[in-house]
Amino acid sequence: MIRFVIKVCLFFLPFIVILGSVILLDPFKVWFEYEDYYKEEVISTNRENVCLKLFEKGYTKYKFNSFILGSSRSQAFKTREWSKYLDSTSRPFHFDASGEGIYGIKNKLEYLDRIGNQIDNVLIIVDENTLITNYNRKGHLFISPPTLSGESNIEFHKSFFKTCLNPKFIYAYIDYKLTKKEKPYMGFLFNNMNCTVNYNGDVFYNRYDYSIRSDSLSYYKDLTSKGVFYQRKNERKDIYSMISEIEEHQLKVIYRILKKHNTKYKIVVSPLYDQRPLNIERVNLLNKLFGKENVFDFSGSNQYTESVGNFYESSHYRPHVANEIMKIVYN
Amino acid sequence: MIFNSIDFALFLPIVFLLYWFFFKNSIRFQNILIVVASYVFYGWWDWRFLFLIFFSTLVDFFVGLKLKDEKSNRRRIIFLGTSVFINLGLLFFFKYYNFFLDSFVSSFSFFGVQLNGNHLNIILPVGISFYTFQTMSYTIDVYKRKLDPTKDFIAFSAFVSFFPQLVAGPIERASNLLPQFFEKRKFDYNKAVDGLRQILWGLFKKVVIADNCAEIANQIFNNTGDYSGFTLIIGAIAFTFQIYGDFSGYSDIAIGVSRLFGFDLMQNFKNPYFSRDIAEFWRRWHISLSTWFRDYVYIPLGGSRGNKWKIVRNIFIIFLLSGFWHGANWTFIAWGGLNALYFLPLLLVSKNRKNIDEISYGRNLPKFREFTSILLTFSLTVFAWVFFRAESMNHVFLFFKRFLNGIQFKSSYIDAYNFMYWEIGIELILIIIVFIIIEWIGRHNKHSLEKILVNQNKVYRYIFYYFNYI
Repeated sequence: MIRFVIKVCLFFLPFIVILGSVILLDPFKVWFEYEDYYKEEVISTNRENVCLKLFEKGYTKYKFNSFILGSSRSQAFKTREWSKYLDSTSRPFHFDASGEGIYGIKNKLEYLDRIGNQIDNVLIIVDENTLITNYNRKGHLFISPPTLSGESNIEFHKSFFKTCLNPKFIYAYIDYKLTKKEKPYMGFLFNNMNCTVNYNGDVFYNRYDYSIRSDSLSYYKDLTSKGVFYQRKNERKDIYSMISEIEEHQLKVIYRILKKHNTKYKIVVSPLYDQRPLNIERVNLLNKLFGKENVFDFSGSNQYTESVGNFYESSHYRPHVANEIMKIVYN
Repeated sequence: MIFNSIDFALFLPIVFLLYWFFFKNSIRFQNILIVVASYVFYGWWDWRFLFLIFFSTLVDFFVGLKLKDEKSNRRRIIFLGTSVFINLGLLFFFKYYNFFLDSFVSSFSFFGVQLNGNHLNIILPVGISFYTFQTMSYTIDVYKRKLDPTKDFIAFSAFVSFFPQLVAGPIERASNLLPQFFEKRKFDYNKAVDGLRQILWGLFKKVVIADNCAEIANQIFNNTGDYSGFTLIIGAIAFTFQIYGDFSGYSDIAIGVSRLFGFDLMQNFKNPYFSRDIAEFWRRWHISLSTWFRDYVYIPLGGSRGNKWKIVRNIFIIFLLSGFWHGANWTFIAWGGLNALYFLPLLLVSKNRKNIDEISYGRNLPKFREFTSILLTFSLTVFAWVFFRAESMNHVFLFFKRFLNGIQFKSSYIDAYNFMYWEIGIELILIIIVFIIIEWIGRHNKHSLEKILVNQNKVYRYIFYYFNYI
């Protein structure tokens, strides 16, 4: 019996050592607090968790009361530009998440409401993916922190352990730590966009901006030849992803909170490279819940989605597009 | 708590150490510990569920005692009827109330009459389908005088609530499991080690095979309108592996955990996807449930005796009930009915016991004829699983409509290939192939890892175990 227990303990010992190392090294910056989450490291972090930490660090000092919500696509909308359309008492914060859905947007508004934070202005950036993501996603980059989701702390941290125990990650991490060189095989676990973040939560994709500024022709030619900017088909999706009860419920919760705080809000449907218009049922639902005067649909084929120069790649549009959109939205 | 959770990973060693270190000299205290641990395990989902299982335990314990003492046949039937009525009543209320209500309302609306059904917000207690059947088997066996009732309430409670098999089976017979609660349990090193191997394999099936295949199946089934042709078949095959990985994985973990405590549970899955015909499939799939229906429904109805119509009736009853047991939806009933249609021809021409020998015994590979039989049986089960997975009968029709429309086009093959390459990935495909090979090699054993590598060098064994674990 004792022999059995000892053997089992010895069997699990390597994992305990690895788990302990994972916590100490904290490659995803989850277990400890940091001054700058984007300094030096190139490992992709959970953006929502980082955003939350940034907010928690700064909200008593800066008294944020205006929020840009949405996925990484919302990063085209910079708080400094947005402030021009808000009154002088506004303190904007970019509260986004990777692949954000209305589940996350709802949770953030509920969180702000719960902690008694003012919500004077809100700009919500959506697309079809945002609207159908009405659940807590899996994966260390996407799972929502328990402070926002109200879900299990264990499940949250487990997703990071899982990634850390992935042999591909362990190998790539050790390789990078030793050589300090980013290699192609390191793939999506590593993110060398050379980003900087300000205290408002705006992310600046310095690597992309620099490449475009230096030689935009080569930049876009290269991406086109790699198939990043693919040939587009202008068609509506054959809908089986109908508006679910959960989606409608979450949108209603969002509306209730905005109404409770007398928030001035706008909802923008992003202009995406795929030029697929948001289905009419969703547009109608948004208009019905939030008012036609507050909903602006830039999806489909238009001047913003036509030119590749408006995009960093096929998923994210550039800040100048967002600036043009804000001019329209706030006029 | 679920088996593949950190909660269970902490719970199990604590119970294990208490069981073998502090209570090893007392069967009674070990049984008490099992009851307490099982109630903690079950209450972890929702403490309110504990009242139900306690109530069910209490009723059947006293019914069992009454059945022994009672001489009058009429009163014995009443006592048995009470147990069956209460257990099935609980099951029907929690699992099927809203289904029956919706079906009732829909049937009237078909004729243009709108009824206002009072839909209840009922939480389904986890495992209720399993433990109600388990306790009913006890009272039925006592009624038939196949089993003496126990006067030990603690042992009986431990039998009903035994945490390894409480929420997902196997559905144990009292004649197998209950006596083990009266025997002195001595720690058996080899049994415990083999139990751990079985747990490891069960976790692999659940976490690696089932969870990964679930993502693919969900993607396709939740967006059926976005896919067509052969891509839909990939979804159906993914679900086929998902459900096997989930179900048999849980059973393996349950059996493995039981062995850590010195208990032997029945084998619940015997590599059903290697079956050569549907009859064999049903001797290998969810054995505890299919034998339950055979012994307590099919045989009392007359079984295979009597005229052909009676046999057809009996077959349909058990398969439809089996389908219905799985869930409150017409799709499950349709799935059961389809399996009845598969099974009947074999039974009616007396070929249902054609393949009772071990598959390819003494050979590494199946013969060509065997292989084609296995493929055909597998295809039939994949087809049937579409009904099981679909959300409604409309969804089933949409699925097959899009499949038939899609296969006419060459692009369907390309789409399916692209889906496999980009969405599934070569790693998962390789893992599934390795999984099938390991299952094939271990097909004659109680579980696939029982004898694999046992005689090999310790280094190879541990590399294999760590690989599985990672």
